[in-house]
Amino acid sequence: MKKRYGVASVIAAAALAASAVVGAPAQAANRTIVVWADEQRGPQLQKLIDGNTSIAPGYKIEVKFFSALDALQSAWDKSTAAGGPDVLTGPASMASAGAKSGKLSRIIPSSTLKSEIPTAGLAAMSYKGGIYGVPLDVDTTGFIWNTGLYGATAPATFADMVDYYKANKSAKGFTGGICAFEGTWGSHAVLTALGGGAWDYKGSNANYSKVLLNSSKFKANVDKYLLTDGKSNGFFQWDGCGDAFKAGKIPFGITGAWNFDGITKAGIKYGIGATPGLTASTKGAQWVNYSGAYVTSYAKDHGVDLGARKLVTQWFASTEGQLAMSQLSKRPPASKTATAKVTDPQTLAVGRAAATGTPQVSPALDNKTGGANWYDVLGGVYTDIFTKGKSADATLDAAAAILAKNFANYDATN
Amino acid sequence: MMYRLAGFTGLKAQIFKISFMAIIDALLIWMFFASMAKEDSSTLSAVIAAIFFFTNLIYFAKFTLPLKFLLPGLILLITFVVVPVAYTIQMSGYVFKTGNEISKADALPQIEANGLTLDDTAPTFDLVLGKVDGKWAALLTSQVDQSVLLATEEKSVVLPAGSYRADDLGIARSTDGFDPVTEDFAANNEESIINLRFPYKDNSFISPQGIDIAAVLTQSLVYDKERDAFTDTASGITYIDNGRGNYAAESDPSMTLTPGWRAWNAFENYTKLLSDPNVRGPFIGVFIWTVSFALISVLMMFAVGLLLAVILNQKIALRRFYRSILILPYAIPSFMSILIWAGMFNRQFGAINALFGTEIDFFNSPTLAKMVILIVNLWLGFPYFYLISSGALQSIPSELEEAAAIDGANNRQIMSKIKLPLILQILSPLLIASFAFNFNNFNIIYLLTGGGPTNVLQGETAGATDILITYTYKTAFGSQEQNLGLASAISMVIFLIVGSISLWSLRRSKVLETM
Repeated sequence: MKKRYGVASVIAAAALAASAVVGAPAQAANRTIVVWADEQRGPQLQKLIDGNTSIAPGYKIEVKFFSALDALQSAWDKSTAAGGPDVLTGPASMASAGAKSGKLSRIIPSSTLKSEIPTAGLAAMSYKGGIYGVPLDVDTTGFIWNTGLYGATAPATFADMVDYYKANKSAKGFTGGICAFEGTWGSHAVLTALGGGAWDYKGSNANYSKVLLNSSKFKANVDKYLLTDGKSNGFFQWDGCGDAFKAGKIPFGITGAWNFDGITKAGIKYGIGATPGLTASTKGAQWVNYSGAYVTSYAKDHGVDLGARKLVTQWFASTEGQLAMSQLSKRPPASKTATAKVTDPQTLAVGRAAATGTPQVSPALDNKTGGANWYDVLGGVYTDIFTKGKSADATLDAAAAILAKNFANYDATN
Repeated sequence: MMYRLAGFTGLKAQIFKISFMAIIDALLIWMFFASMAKEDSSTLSAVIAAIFFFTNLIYFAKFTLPLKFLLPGLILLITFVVVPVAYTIQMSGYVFKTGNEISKADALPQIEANGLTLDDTAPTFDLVLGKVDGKWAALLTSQVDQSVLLATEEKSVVLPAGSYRADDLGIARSTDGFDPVTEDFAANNEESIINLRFPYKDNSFISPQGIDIAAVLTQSLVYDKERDAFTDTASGITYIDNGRGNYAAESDPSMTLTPGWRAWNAFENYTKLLSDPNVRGPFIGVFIWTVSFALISVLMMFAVGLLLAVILNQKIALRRFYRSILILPYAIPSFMSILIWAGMFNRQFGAINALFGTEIDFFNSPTLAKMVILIVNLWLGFPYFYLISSGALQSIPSELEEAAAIDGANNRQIMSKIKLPLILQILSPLLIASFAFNFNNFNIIYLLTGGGPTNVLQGETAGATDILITYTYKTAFGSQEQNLGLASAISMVIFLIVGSISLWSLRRSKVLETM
């Protein structure tokens, strides 16, 4: 009797379950291209392409976005074909890691696409000779100064900024002179303004065998402009200093378009330009990177590979697509034609600042052959010199020894 | 049965039971099919199938009455403890890191795809897909000179001007014998389209790179299935399976093809823990601090908790008030407390430096950072020990204290010779559990110091306050280069250490014998 009930139960259950299971193939047949983005680009893409069926006829586009870039990165790291995206948008560092892991598909760019995108942009999307994404926009920073404090005209030289800071520190209650909003990444313009940086250049070619972080020129300028008797003079700030800039306690800053709204809302009026260098004619060079759109290898598993490729190469890479994204994000577009059509003054200003920048070669900067990558090494340098008051020369030499191994390894394997 | 105990019997009870089981079974069957539809889900499917089988066996058989009550707990134990442990053991035997994540079956076509080289001398083509005699074909318009090819998988023919119809942009749309397909049709048949190769010149071919664009490619990496090897046709280099998840050049094993795959190599991660100085060095340091942190934390929390319990066990003024406020740190969510403490110890704007007029950099000194962690952990943990110590104190019969006093023992002797041994016997399991908890206390380390400070300029890869679990997290997820296999191996070591210490301590305290 009991056994009969058991059989009855299982049969009833199977009937119930079957109704759900039958629904599954219908879902699988739906050609939906799933696009992943972070909390900034995601809402913008939702406005532009979510639900679109005309960009790639036969496919429907669905945009899913995460609460932060870290959350997107984390989800992407853990993704499998079962729930992974067909198109991924994010920083250029995703290209090399994704290519290495096999999660991204290679893209064969058409000659039109090649001519539209700057060489540095395609290089940022490359890994071992293959191109794994199309650049969407320029990820870079600009120099900003508080016009309410310093005035409408930008400081001409680095010394002008330091002198202004020292002269007004007590009177205006400054907690710093220049703030690199984005930490070690954002501080590169300060390094290069003082004759430092990651690697040297021979013409337009990177010379990875020469590390600039411990160059004699840079050491001398760190001592001259950033230290007093070997200790920090408080001018250079890189750790959580954005709020102090917004509070008017730091007159100069280095940040990107993503922070402009917040600064404006804080009531700060500011100008945008390139970071002043040692002379009026030299400028600091910030990292210039690209965000990209990538076709994942999951797209093939989901049966939407061709549609995803069309979306990436013919909308994300198009003048129309890049301009639409730029208007919402205020970031300079990557495509040459789209760049020429930008009219927004903030976007143009960042674009002009970017023109003096240094291509950010993520695989070289992320290399850890020496024990730690560029960003961690730089964090250690700042802490040791500016917080702990250790010898700048010895610290920079120790850092350069690590970086030399990283860059040599990158140079040898690429 | 519960419903029988509650007087819920007979036909109604049977109908209720069958209905309830039908819903449970439906859910399990649905979950089983859903898991089967996903990749790499054989373990999950097997677990669901086992739960389905045993649930029905237990609830419909007569001989399994006690299991009817234990089953829900057992299922949760299996799902959330046994399966993750088994999965971690399995993963620790794989080369599973950035670059070695997908299966070999998935890696093979991608290596072949990476071995496709774009012919830079050839044009790209505007593509119109269609059928010729029922087979896939393409009408290809050169983006360079607008010459037009009609290609099938057998041959490609240049079409003379006038033999095809072009649109306003000069892209050929149709020709005699060519039946173009709609984009919707193409979208629904893309599995067959992405593998199309239309012959071009010599060894090159035209391949669709989207629904309306095609490029000329050559296959420079050729796979030999029998040898399980790739050969680079340009350089002649042969790449063979190196047994560690990559095809490596025979002549230079450091040259590998990407992507790699998740390869089984049972002891590589464990060997690495012992033999690789980059892993071994930090591991030993982190292990010593983990044990110290857990031990010191438990001893401090117990000492402070017991002291307060003893004090508040006396009849003193405002005792109820004191008892209430002592619980507060326990009542506030720990992550909030930790973040508040992190702010208080901040060098620039922290309350502690402001109070003393100092600029102590607590988080950049290994010693101070460790002290901060112990202080904050004490703050978070002492109310718990106060509560359990109070309970234990109150459970000791007052006759023992009175008898000792009559025999001439003073308060210190009563505490050390009578109460403390009894309290320790009562609280031993909780002390051991607390040690195990703190051994894996991820939150306090991650939220307070992030494992730092790390002196990367001195070659350190683990932070001064990293404990094994945060080190494991950093190894698995902490950077662009992730090593999930190694992290799983470290997790297994943690599991063995905590398990062994707990078992040993429980046996030493003879708690298991009295339970």
